[in-house]
Amino acid sequence: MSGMVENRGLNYWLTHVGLTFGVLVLFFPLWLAFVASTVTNSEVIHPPMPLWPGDQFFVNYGRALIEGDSGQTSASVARMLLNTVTVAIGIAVGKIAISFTSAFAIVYFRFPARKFFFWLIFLTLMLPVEVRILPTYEVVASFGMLNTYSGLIFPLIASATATFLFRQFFMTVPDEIVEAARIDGARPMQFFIDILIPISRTNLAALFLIMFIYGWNQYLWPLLMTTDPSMNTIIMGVEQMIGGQDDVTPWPVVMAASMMAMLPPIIIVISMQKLFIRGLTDSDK
Amino acid sequence: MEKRVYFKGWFLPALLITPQLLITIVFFFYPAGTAIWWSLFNPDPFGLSTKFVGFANFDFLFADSYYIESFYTTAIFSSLVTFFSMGIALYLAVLADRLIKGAGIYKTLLIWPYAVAPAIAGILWMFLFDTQTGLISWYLGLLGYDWNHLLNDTEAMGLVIVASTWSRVSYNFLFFLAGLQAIPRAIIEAAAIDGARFWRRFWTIIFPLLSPTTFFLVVMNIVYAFFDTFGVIHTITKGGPGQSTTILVYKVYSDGFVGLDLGSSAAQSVILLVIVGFLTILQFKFVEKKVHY
Amino acid sequence: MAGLILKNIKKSFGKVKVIHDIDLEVEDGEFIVIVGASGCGKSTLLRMIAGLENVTDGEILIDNIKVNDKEPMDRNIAMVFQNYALYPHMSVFKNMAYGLKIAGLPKAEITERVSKAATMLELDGLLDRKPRELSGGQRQRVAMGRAIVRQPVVFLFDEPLSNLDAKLRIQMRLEIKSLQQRLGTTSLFVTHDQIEAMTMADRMVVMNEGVAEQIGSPMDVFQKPETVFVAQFIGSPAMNIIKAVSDKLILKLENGSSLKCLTQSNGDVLVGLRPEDLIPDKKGEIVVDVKLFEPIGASTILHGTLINSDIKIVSVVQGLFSPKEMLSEMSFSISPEAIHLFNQDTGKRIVN
Repeated sequence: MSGMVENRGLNYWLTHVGLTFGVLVLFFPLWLAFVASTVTNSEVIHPPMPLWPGDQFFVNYGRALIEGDSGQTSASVARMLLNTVTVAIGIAVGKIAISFTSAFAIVYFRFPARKFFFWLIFLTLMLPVEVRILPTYEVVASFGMLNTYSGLIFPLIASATATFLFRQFFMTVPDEIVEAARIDGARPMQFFIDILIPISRTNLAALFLIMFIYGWNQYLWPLLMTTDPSMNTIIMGVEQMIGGQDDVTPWPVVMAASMMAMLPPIIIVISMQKLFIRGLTDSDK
Repeated sequence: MEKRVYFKGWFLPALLITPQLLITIVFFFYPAGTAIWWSLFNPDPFGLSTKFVGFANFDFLFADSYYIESFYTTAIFSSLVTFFSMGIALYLAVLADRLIKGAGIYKTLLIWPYAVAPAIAGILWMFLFDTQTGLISWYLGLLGYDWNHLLNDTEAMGLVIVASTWSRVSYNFLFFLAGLQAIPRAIIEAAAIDGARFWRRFWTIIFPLLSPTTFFLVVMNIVYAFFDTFGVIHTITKGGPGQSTTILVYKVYSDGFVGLDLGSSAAQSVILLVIVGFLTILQFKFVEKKVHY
Repeated sequence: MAGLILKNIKKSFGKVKVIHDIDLEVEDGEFIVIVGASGCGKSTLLRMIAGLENVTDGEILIDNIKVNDKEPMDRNIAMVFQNYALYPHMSVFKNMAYGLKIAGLPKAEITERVSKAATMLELDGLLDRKPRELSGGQRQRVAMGRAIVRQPVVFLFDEPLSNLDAKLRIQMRLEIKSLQQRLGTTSLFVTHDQIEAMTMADRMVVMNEGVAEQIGSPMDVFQKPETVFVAQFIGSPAMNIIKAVSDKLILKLENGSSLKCLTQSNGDVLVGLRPEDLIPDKKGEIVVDVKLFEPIGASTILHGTLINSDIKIVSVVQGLFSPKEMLSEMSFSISPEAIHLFNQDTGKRIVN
């Protein structure tokens, strides 16, 4: 930190004012969404909306959870949350499982075409799913995986970014530990389970958090491949609750749903802040 | 540097790498390859017939005024989002870095938007500016300004930029703060003793030392603006009004999925693939120099 | 009976020859120290015996069984690494028990072996701690404990004391040596520190650029170095090597002085004089123009040149001298038996 002597007095207060202003600007939409989720429909429709929460908290959230928007275009929030949790965990676990093992194979064994596989992985690094969205839809449809959890999960774990990350991490594990394990008689899988996984604990946890949030916040892919509202995930599902011009959008319920869509990732980020930040800075660099 | 220690055998590693390989081939390379294939054809959306057209799809795209416009839209959109979200984040990071105590609290208070999906960010901001019920649009109405982003191009663009920027500030803030905190205090103190006041110190020492982080963030933000903002645009404007907020990736979706023009959409995907590929190479050549292979 | 035999061991990394033809027979229970400068191949040699590196040519026999193609775990060896290589997430107990657990030993026996080793190494209260909670010396002992519990045929030590501070090193040397004598296990110990080698070895292998220049007991290596390299590597301060022309038993140094020795030779030779063998003698043949002196307590190291020349020479004299007595010319003599002769071209010792 470059806190300096000059920081006392006016500069000090200005710094806090600036930061507080930034915080407020970031919180503002969130706050209003929260307020909107606790007032009645008419209070929203006839602006200005009050700036302080109302008393409709349980009504709105209850309605969102149980009915959604009465099943017109969307399922209940409860159902969507279930779907989202399943998909997010599926993506996080799936991605970590396949990348950790393949990174292990690439780093700790010598087999032909190793370099080839490494470049193969490299190619998948920064091409997001949006670029290959339509053909992927075709592939998933041809497997009959539309409207299924696996269809939601598999395309999103296909890029080998995590494999790359784990590879980088494994390169930092001292050779001597592997040698000691070999001398101790550990076969590759024993080394993998008894030593490599425990050593990688923090990395695994951090990556899990990042992938969970990534999976949770998916929008385009679930939008495309779920035609059955009961398979909606919460992020795309909330959007579907917003009617077109003809329908009147039930804003309080929509906002309640939005809050519930936002909250789990926010809670994770804040409570696991250190771990999460470490995962971000390690994984994106 | 090659790791010099390894286990013997080839069967086990082959087994271990198979799941990743399978999934990547089936759900990544095959679709990517298909996109390239389709871009050279005029596939009928019902799969009944296809006709090889060579580069015709690409020629058509570059002659299409809507597509060219989409390029401009994307360029403007991504540069503005990058500029603003990085600028604001840098400002906040510099402020937070100056604090000896309390930076942690601000960090917590500023980091959470990262967890909010861009689509939700879009919904939140759309709510604020809703033509009938939005709080801000209502106040603007009181001041005499009739806000309607559903009709006005510039307002639509402005709104999606604001929502996308809002969503991205915390990510940039984290990296900038980390970059600032990595600068050795001794250098800054030496400059202060040499008589440099804050702004001079900032421009001549801090900013140059921050350039790897800055460069890295520019690339990441451009990629973000290209792709992750789909959710923002789809929720607020759906590319409108009149395709004025249709960025390239949105067009891939709307032409392909809504318009059912698979060949054109595939060609657009290929073009995007090239652009991102270029950005990736840039990223690795200049930013990841310290990564050893 | 030989516990470990190395026959014609050669090693190359691609085209680069790293180890040139090493032969060694280690008796049961012997403590062998492999000593040499960095990069001489000593660690590579050790790792080949462990099975962590492939042997390009030659045979390694442990307990009279050829082990060239065997995995480390099948060779009945245990190794102590320079950086200890402890499993960071396991407790001391688990670290020591890991190899035994894999071997499938019953729990009771594992506990017994580990406790015994822990007591031997004074690690009793630390069994639940993790490596990061231990000091360097403690970690070193855990690494040794891990090797001991496996009850191997050969112990391999790869510069285990290099990361410890000087005082701790000296203490650990004695502990390791006494431990090994107690257990009676054949041991190979790699180090770059020649004092360590001298104090610990039953026999030493002095290595230089992949070649074993001499294999012998510390006494032999010190008193009868077989090459100039060994002569200068062992002993501190290093032996003085001076060019001379010999005529039967008379050696004529470049500055004109003459020495008488016990070995016959003719022509250009290299004369080896240990600093501590130079005795101050007012009538001595070796006259030194003393330039610098280092009082190191009970003795003083003198640096200077032979008169009428630029030849550097070092001597060690007992006692502390005052500066006034020092910076001048001093005469030394040397007993003929203490003079070492080496062939100027091959560097090998000249014997009759």
